[in-house]
Amino acid sequence: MRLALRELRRRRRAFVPTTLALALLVVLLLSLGGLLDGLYLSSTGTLRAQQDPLVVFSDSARDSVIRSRITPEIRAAVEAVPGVARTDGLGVALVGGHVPGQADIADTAVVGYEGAVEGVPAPPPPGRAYADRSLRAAGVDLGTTVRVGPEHIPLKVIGWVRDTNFLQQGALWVEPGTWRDVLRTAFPGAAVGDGTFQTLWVAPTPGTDPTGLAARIDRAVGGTHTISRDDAVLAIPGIKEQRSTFTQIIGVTFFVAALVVALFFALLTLERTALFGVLKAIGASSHQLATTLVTQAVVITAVAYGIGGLIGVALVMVAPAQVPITLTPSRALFVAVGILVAALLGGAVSLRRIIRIDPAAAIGTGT
Amino acid sequence: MPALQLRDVRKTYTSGDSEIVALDHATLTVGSDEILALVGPSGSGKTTLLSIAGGLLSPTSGTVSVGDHDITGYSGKELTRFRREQVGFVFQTVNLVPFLTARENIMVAAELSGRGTARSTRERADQLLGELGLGQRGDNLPAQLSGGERQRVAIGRALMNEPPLILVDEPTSALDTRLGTQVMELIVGEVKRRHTAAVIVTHDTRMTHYADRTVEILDGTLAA
Amino acid sequence: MRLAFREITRARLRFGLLSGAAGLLVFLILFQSTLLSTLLSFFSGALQHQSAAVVVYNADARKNPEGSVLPTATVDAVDAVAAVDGVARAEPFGVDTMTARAGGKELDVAVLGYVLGGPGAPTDVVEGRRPRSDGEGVASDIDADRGFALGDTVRVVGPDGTYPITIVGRAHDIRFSVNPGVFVSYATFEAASRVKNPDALAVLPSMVAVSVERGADPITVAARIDRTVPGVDALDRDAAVQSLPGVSAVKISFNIIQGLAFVVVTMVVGIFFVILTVQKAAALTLLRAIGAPTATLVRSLLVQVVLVMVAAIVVGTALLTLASLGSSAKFPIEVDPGVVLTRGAVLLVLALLASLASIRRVLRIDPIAATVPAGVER
Repeated sequence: MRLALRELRRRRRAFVPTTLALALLVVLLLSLGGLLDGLYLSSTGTLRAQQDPLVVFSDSARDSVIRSRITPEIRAAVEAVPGVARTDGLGVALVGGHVPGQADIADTAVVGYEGAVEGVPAPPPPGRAYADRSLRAAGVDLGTTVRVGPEHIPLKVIGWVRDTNFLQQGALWVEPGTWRDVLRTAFPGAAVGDGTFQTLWVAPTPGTDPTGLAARIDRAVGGTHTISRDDAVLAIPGIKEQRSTFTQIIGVTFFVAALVVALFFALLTLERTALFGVLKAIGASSHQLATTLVTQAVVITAVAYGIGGLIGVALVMVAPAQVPITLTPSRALFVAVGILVAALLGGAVSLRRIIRIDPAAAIGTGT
Repeated sequence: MPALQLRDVRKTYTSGDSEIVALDHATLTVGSDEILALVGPSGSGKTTLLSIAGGLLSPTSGTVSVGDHDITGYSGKELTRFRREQVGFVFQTVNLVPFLTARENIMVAAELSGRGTARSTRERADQLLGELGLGQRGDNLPAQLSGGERQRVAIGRALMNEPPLILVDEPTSALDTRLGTQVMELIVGEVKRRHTAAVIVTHDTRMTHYADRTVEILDGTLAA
Repeated sequence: MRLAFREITRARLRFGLLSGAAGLLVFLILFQSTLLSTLLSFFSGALQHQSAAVVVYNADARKNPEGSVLPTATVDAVDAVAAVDGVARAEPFGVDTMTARAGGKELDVAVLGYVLGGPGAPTDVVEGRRPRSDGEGVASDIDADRGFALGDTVRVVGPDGTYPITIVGRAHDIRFSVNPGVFVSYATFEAASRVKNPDALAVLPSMVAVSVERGADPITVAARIDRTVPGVDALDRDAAVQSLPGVSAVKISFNIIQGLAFVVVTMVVGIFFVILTVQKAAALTLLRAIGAPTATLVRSLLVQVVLVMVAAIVVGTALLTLASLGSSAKFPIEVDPGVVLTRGAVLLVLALLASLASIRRVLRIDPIAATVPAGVER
């Protein structure tokens, strides 16, 4: 162990190239993961924040929040189904918001809700809204009055919420009547009557199995499609395809990164064959050399991860607002573990060579 | 025309505040087909002298001539060319390019001079391999050759471009007496056959009788 | 040259490994490029492959066709746009995602309505023809086996009934917002919208599709429309595609990822050659000592870099071809020679630049070191 660390310290320059290459791969992996997470989180916040585990769509809407319609009659029928504790209506209108003092129109999602949303207080009075923190970048602040839609309906921001966006548009949480006004002015062809929402979120009574309840609701009410919150999130347009694309890319990148890491560690070992030969000649066992290798792999990877992580964090901080990049702890951990495994595998490949080194040949004079 | 002429050559290095004198007022002449043995303990400056003669180092003061080339003020490029064509150097350890076969190692100097593709080059290389007793080993890589065989390939490489001066640094230090004798006989035989001059650096006094003349060097100074 | 080849021949494993690793990274770059451009075309294909050189949205729509409705009650936007200098023809264009029944299943379809014979028609019709009357439609070619083949009938589904559209043509790459796209006449669009939402007060066009006069520059015309007509946002087609929701975020991400991947490949190759150069320092010193000019050694190095990169590009392209053979019809991976060549050329140049670090080391070799006995520590 000590030998390993001493070599790292005294012969730092020999390990710099490998560490650098590793750090770069870490940056690549963190960025990829960060972009995927960012795209995903900023598109699905509104639905992920719902506390009720089930959501009812009208079945012709094919799980689209925008197209679905839940009338008061349907709602009454749902609430009559045994196992339903309570329901909360939700609707979203994607409109432009004029922010005083700003030239560009902000992309907003006006969300009409009744309650049971994680991190969002009870609905504010008409004309008031809770704004998602991401709208800060658009110039919105507490007390700002954002004017939304073609008729510039005023919404005064009275509080912040976070991670509640829909399709990357900044969420403005309002009481249902305000939302219906916005919807009607922006999309006259999609106007809804009083009491109608787009989706209905359902909380089951304690002890009720949600899957069974979903099926029961659809059977009893007819013309509805009830699914879980997670499925609703996946049904948001573009999400499945984005995830699939990025996941494939991340998978291939990890694989390639692992091979590149292995290559570098193999080369590093090759470079030190003579050194290992001498060590063996003076009595070091293969096992001790293996420990050296593993220790060094871990230390180099840790340093590379540190450097790569710092660069990654810096990138996230300087990224402009339109770049949806978020570094989540689970992603950071995932990359750390992945890279460590790759480094150990690479070191393992070189292990065979080390075991085969003949100390007598190693201390002979060079060619 | 002497093969090598050093006049009052001095080589110094600065280390920190002090000045190290590697070679001090060295004057030496080697005839055009003379074999000179340069004898001294390690650290005596013999490798430095050899390096200056071989165009690997420039003297701090004094003049160096090899044949009719005064190389004292040569630029890096000129020295490179000089080393390629006017001198054959057999180093103490690293002598062969590990990824070239014995034959290719011998031919590499000729290739660098642009004569690599000529059939005569290859024929010469094979002839040298034969003279050196390596006729069957031409396609082997250095890793597949014994220490003595590698030494002989290095000698072949030094002789390939038919330079007027051969410089050999400690040819027998890694070999036992029998092999050492073989190598010395080979070097002397080849050099004499070509009427070339040679400077052989050694600290092994058993080998000095192969040379025409022996000069001693101690602490950077040649004995009178 | 010879030296370069000989070294590669004698160290096949090392160079093979590097070419393999670099080849994988090249594959990564090509794979990313293909996947992401396919993803982008799923979002924006229909808008890219229609004939209007300029599109005009409601200014409040933030360049989102599905967020844009043109008010006809106040100013007649279409006429106002048509009057602008440089505009050859301006017609209403409607875009909406509707539920439809196709191939026995219900799915989302982007219905795009344009005035027949006018701007906004699908441009890349590969089979069949454009619609000649109402009720006919052109669908995206990759959706053919989902019920969008020639002759199939696609039914827009609404609460009170359905509206049939017969597929008379197939076009390349006209998906929209990830959904299959169908180009129909504007009247068909209106009728389908009414079926989708019978309570709608009015069906308004999403934007104005504009064709420009011969010789006119779409960007200039778009700017002129912006200045002249109030309350609208005019963009040339490329700008409109870039500004589609979802597209710009994915595109920026794409550029970042590709940029990083390029940097990684370059540095990996560069670092490898540095390691290689350091490892053969003794041989290089020897060559310098026996009179090899520095230029020869540098040339040799560059030749090796080029060979490794070319091999890597070949390996990467081969892997991409394999991937494309195994890819599904739903998410096709195409091997575009243009992409391979441009990416390959950039990588080659970058790799040569990266080899500067190794070249520096070669330049620093002092031949005198050949006289120093070789040791373990170098």
